[in-house]
Amino acid sequence: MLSGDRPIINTFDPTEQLYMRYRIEQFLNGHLDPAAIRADGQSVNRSTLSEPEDTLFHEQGRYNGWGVVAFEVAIIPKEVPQAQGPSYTFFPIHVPLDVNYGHSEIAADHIPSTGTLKKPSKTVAVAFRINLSRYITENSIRILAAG
Amino acid sequence: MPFLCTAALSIDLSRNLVQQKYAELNYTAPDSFSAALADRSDYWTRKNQFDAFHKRLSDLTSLPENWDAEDAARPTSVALDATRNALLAMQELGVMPERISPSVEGGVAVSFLRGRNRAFIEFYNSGEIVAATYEDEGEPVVWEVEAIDAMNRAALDRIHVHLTG
Repeated sequence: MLSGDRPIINTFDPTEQLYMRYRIEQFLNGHLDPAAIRADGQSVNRSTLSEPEDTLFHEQGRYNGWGVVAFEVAIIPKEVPQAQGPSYTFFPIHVPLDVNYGHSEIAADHIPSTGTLKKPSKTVAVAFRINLSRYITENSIRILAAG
Repeated sequence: MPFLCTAALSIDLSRNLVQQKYAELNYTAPDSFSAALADRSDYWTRKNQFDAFHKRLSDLTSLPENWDAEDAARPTSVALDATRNALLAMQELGVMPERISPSVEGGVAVSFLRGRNRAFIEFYNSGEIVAATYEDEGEPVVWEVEAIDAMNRAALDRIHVHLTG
């Protein structure tokens, strides 16, 4: 789990699973509440470099009682348009932490690509969060959060 | 709150008693009378639910910073006041939320659900408001809103049509 000298690997297969922390009250009628998802830098862990339990590791036990859901890279919205301004694309990036090599984030850029990360507008952010939340159901739960 | 519950219970009991008396007389209570009692009962039920949402909103004032252990900001008075004003307008229009929750993006989120139809309003700490209507499939419709209160109900009207349409 320690990163050590291991490299950043920014290749994600569409079928790779991403693990995300959740709390029991963040489910609403079988779906994850959009209010529980960040549009800018949502923290996840990738399945090729970690286990679901690694997502909850914290030296001070910060995530005790939290649960873990899993979803495929493929469900991350590839294009989110808006009425005014550029469309956005969302994608995972590998952001290893010292004690969590598999740590990654969901980032965004404009379409066409600017080659940098762009913070999405508020309307794009809400559309992204709603789209992602629809795929994260109770079937996505890998570790059940404490009730 | 106990008074409200008692009042609602009292109306339900009154309605039952009236219907029972009519039944004893082998007579059917006029529809308009039953409907009036039902309306009053619905009013108290709705009032109790909105009181609970206002209480939930008050509870959010005591959230600590970093409440989600991921550096989320606690809802500010800007977001809380905007949500409170919107709740009053929702109550007047009869648009019932499903849940009020703190948002990990900093602010307050209000979710609506009726069958497959859902809606979502986020009141950001910055004062911005974004609303959305959506279903289980298809692209959500998302738009920015200047204000939601007694004088600005367009977003709620749109959500009401989506939920009941």
